[in-house]
Amino acid sequence: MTPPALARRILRVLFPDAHRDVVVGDLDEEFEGHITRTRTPAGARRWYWTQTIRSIIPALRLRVRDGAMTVSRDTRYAARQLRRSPGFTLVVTLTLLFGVAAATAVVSVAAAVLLRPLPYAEPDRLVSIAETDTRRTSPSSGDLSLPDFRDFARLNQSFVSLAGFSGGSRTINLPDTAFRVSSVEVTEDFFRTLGVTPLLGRDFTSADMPATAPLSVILGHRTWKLRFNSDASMIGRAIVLSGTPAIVIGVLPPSFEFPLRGLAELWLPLRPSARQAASRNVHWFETIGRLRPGVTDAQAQADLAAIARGFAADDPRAHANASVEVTRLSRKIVGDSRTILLILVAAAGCLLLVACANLAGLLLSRATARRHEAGIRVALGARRAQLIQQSLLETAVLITPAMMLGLFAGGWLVRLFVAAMPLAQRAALPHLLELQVDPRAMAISAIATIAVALLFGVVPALRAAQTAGAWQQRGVVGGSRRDHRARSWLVGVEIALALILVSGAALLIVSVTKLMSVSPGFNPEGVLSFRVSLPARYTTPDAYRQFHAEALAHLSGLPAVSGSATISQLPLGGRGAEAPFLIDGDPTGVPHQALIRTVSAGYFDVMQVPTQSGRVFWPEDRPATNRVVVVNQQLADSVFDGRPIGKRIKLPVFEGEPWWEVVGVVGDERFDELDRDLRPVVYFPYQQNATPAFNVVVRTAADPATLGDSARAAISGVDSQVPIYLVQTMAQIVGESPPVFRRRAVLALMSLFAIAALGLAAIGLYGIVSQSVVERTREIGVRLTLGATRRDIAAAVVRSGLTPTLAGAVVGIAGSAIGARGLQALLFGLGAGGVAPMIAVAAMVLLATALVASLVPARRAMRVDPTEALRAD
Amino acid sequence: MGRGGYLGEFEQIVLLAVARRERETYGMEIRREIEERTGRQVSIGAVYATLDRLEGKGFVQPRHDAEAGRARRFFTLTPDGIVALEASRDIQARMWSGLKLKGAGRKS
Repeated sequence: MTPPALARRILRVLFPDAHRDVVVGDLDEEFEGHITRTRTPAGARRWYWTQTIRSIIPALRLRVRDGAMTVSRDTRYAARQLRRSPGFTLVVTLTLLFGVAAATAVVSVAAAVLLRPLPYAEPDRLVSIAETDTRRTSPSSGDLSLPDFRDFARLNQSFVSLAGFSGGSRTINLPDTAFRVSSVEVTEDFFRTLGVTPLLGRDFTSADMPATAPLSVILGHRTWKLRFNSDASMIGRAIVLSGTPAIVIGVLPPSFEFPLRGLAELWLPLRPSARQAASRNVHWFETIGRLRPGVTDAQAQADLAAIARGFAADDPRAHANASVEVTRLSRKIVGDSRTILLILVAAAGCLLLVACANLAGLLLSRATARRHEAGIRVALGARRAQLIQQSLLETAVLITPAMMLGLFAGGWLVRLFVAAMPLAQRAALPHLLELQVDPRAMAISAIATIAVALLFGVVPALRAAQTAGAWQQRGVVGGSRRDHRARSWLVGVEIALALILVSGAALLIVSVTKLMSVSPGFNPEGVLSFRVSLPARYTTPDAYRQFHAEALAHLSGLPAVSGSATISQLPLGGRGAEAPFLIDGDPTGVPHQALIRTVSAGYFDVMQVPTQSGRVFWPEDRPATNRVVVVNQQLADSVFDGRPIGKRIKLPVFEGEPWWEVVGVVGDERFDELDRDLRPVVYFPYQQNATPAFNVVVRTAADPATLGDSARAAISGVDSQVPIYLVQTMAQIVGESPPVFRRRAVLALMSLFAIAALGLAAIGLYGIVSQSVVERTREIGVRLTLGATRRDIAAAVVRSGLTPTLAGAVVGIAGSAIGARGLQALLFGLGAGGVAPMIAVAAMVLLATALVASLVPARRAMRVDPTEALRAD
Repeated sequence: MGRGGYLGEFEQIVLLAVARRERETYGMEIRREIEERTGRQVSIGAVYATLDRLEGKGFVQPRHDAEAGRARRFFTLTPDGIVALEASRDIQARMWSGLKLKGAGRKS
């Protein structure tokens, strides 16, 4: 009589290894005793079943205890293993650190800018509306005139509401001081269009809009917090803005941002001048709209374009070709940065892939090295599950801290990235003012790493467990050769990706260098600039001129200052004011387009813009004297065939359209961005075209950055209620101008990634070459004995790394060519033939690195002692 | 007391069963001892799970023996086990000391 077989089987499955035989043995023994004593086999069988069933829960409890102990023992073992190979652990940690940190940081920034919805209600229905002129080739600003806006708002079928806004700045006057802040003037429905409600107080209403109503202002949350100490009683109180009292009617919520005017602190009602209100031809503000549900961008565009065609009837001269462009607001805000962020994501992705390939190679080499150990363990009775559990734990112990470190470093990198961005550029993109690491970015990096770790950490162990039976035979050699091949592939991939990154960095270095060597047309060194806006109290051109003259006199009197001057809009500050002009005696009567700038008499001297012919402005050019202008070389050549002196022009923007005589030609200053074409410029003398706001430039022999305080004091010495703002050195303006900054930012990250990728690829290559040296020690010994020179041996070793290097380089060169196309938007001054040489240079750098990585193990191979090598094993 | 801490009721019973056998003993004997003395049905699994715990606490000392034709694990009480049993008894004695329970008395 035997115990019930099924019950026994259940017991054997349930109890852990250590207990299984003992428990079943005891029960079997007692079962026999039962039968002997009671002589009832059926009763004994029932008893046996009862015992089995009642043992299920205790057995499971034992298993859990057992499992926990194994895990903690294996973890300790794994940690000990890692401590015994600190080099391996360090390399894996660094690999993951680079890859994970880069990917986490870059994807965080990109996700914030590109993926996170704008902080408005249903942001998908918000669009930007630009009025265009289908005839003009150069892009127009897209601004609307008030009559155009009113017609669009009244006649459209596609929008719930339209809103206009126009940027500016205001002085906040406090009893003892004053400071200048950015402001935005908005139409009544602006916040309602965005779907934003003030945190405190109220939104604008139609009662706030007329110029006769008391001025009301809504504060940005940060302004309210920092400048007014989060004082809730501000609502309803009056503050003084540029000399005019304004009632604070609301405070915006903390989440609100408007990247198209990112630095704005004050929100005011849009109040047009009489001319702005009446003229269809004065385009002066930007427009956004909220689409009706279900209306597409194209439908909205067609709708508005049809309305725009109607403008021609009213104003055939300027509106004959009026049309409209409707763009997603999110798209409009992100603009060119989209390409840049995608480039960075691609670069970080490359680095993460290199890191993953490197990790895979490292784990494979480790599995190969420990195949022997696995074989022994299997021979000693370890089961497959145990081997797999062990390798899982080892991999986890290895990568977990490294990954944590990488994620942490990623967070740190995000902060670094954001801190390195100039505030104005940061504010111009959504969600960057208070950027956090994106959990999705962390998840992507972590999942990629874990997947690679599982694949290459655990799968080899699995295979080792399967083949371990034959570990003493040829299986080991074959397996290691297969692993070696896999690792060569991985190194090839690393080299290809590293080459792409190095090429990208090389192309950007050249672009930035070329861009920086583009002459801005003036000498930016030693010049401080700032802006001044006179309060409403100054009402006449005479008052402006008097302040202007006194201010320049004060500034020129400062120690170490060699001269000061003013200009309406600074170089590299964008196209800014632009107007059509007519030439006296031109039979065609076709207007030409030029940038218009108003400068003081000393401007060209202070900025060291050379005079090409004729004269520049004199102090003797007074309001009452002959009206004169200076033009730049570009205009002189393109419009007057190089002989403009004495010609007369007139501009419809000036009331009365007087004639202005060209008296001189100066060198070309760049007003638009450095990477754009030069534009024609007409300069007017301040004396004959005085304005209440201007930029001051001060040339000093000292460091211009230290001049800010004394300049501020000099201006407040003329009028204490006139603050200076936008204080920057011209060198800063050049260095931080968007085309330079963008490329520099991408270059900085790309170089970082390229160096990391290069280092990782070198480590990967070093790994396979030195492993092949170890595996071939015996062969090297034989060869040496047979008369091979040590040089031959070194060459053979270097060759073993050559195949993956060359294969990787070929793929990498092709990849770099494709990558260069992706970088196109950032390349500058390279021309058609400029890219290939830079890729060649990058390939050289890579091959040199690869050579060094192979030479180190080759030197070791050269030192092999043939007798030792043959005696080994 | 040793590193084991307080003894649970079944732990105490198993430990006492080990203690009652003057020489080393194994699972089946312990199970039978408990069943005979308490009249309670006890599963072999529960006995081994408890012995495993007691072993972890250092109250019993196991010895593996494969000579009898099958695997057996013999247990003896350790000095720590003796201390633990005495401590449990003392605690109970102190709690019972001078106590008379009223109402429903013991059945059986």
